Amino acid sequence: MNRREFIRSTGGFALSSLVFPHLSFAQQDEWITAFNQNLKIKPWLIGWQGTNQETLQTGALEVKGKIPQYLNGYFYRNGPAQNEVYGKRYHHWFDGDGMVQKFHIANGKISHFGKMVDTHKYLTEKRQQKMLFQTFGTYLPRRITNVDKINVANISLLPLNKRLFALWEGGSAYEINPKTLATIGIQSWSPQTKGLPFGAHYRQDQDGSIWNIGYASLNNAIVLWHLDSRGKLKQSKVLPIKNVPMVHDFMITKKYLVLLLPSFRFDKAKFMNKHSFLEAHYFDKDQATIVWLIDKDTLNIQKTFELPAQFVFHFVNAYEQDNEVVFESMRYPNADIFNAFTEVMRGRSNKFTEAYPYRVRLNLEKNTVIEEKLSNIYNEFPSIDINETGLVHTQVVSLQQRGELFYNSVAINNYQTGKEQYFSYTQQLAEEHLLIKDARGNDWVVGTTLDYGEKCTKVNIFNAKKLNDGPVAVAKLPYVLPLGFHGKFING
Amino acid sequence: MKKITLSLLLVSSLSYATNIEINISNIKPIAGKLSIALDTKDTYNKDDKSNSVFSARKKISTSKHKIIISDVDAGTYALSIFHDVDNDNKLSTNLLGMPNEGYGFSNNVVGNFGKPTFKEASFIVNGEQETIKLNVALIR
Ligand SMILES: [Fe+2]
Repeated sequence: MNRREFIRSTGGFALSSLVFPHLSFAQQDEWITAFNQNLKIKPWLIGWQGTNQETLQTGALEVKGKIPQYLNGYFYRNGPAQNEVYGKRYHHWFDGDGMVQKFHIANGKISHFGKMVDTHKYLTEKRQQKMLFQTFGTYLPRRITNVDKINVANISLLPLNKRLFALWEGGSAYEINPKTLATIGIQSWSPQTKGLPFGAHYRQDQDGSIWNIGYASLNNAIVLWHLDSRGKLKQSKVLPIKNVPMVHDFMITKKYLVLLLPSFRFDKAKFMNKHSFLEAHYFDKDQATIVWLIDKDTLNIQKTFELPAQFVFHFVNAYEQDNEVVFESMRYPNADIFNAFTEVMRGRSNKFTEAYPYRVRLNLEKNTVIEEKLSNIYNEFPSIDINETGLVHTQVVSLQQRGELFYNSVAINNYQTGKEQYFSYTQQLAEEHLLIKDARGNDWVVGTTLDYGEKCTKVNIFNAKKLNDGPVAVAKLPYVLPLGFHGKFING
Repeated sequence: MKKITLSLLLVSSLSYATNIEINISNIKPIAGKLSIALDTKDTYNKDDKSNSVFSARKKISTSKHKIIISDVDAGTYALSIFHDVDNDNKLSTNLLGMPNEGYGFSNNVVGNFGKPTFKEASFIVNGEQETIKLNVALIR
């Protein structure tokens, strides 16, 4: 080997580690690099950048228009906020530590306060200044003694009897102070149910009691919960099931709990072999999606139905009508949507597609099933007047994709009149919008948007009767809140 | 066959019977009893510890306790400990079998969403040491 060859073969390494010493050890996280590159050309990605703030607060927000006189209360929202921690970026939108947002609407004014939920995971990583724990879509090898050690409390909220809970779906509810948002701790409803998964999409019954489910993938079980309106556990039950399906939401009618078990199921062996919880799920297009009708009194499965293989995150509502149980869902033909939520974390996806609204009729006498597609527009995040839960619902608010990017529109469908109204935002991505009643019984639609032109989050209020006209009031925050999931409105 | 038995006897008569000293920490609340079992591979996964090499219960008076198991023969063992807060003689669990009381294993090993295997929790008593010291911080 001559001298020149020697330099070419070994000198290059030596030189680069002298000139760029950082290259020889800590390279920047690839997901951060990819995300930041895409953010330069896709400004809407700012919604998935994440915050490293523990709290965010602004007094009276700048408001365009007029906040309705009788609309007073607290609008709480939850979602993953810390998408990048200690030099690493999560690989899925569902992973980041939860931050609860509180918008206080009073006397025509609106203020904002947001605070991280002090979960065991969040506090432990903060203490050690390191990403330590595996999450929904990001695998890390550290052993986990129980699921609440990785609970990120980042999906939704349960206000109950003047208490407030931040909800995840793999573990316990975290109680937080509804005024200060300070974390009180893990909620145990009874010693026997301590640590059991308490889902993010409970349903409140006409008597004020709370029904919920939880899927315990590692324990081959689905848990059923019934709390009274004061938060006391009335009943719980564990239903055994193999390869636990990912059951994110469910419904109630007068007599039944309605659970749809999507064909997206858990492979425990894969999970135990160095894969994230999401990676350990598989969509089986040849396996029917099962519907369970569960008797509310006994919590026994009373009837089962089979639907074509599908995935559903969110249901509109269910009700009984003649010999049928009828429900509506935002139905996906498969579970590919999870990939879009992965890719958006490195800035690669621009759309969340394939969720169409469906109405399903389960005939209890003939044991037949009819599925009917209600629209050719992508719909997600349905919301009804909570007073209609389990009864025939009249109006459905949802987000729609009517542009090139994600969900940019809010719609209200009135099934009594067959009329649809919608409003498309400009340069904004819409988050969940709720249909709420003010103190005088007027219907309003309230929801947040990310304005990626103005680089801020906005709260939008519509008259539900005139949604087409656009918001009657828009409050602008001086910062961007990371795009989140679900909220609740409390009058008061 | 006879030869092998003889040589085994010879080895054991030359070695110590070892004492195992266990320092248990992170005990909370100061109530109830510690339940300790020393198992071989055969008894490790049995809930009934009456056939274990050693089992004992100790009343809790402080957040740390020292326990000594005397004269343990050479072999491979795992130690399981739980904190019987409510004195019902069993590890209280929720409906899915997840522990509601503190617990721990030798090597301070934790399981991954479950109990560690015997292999992970086990240690060897080879008869060459008079005392083996083990630290176990209870997991809660
Ligand atoms: Fe959801």
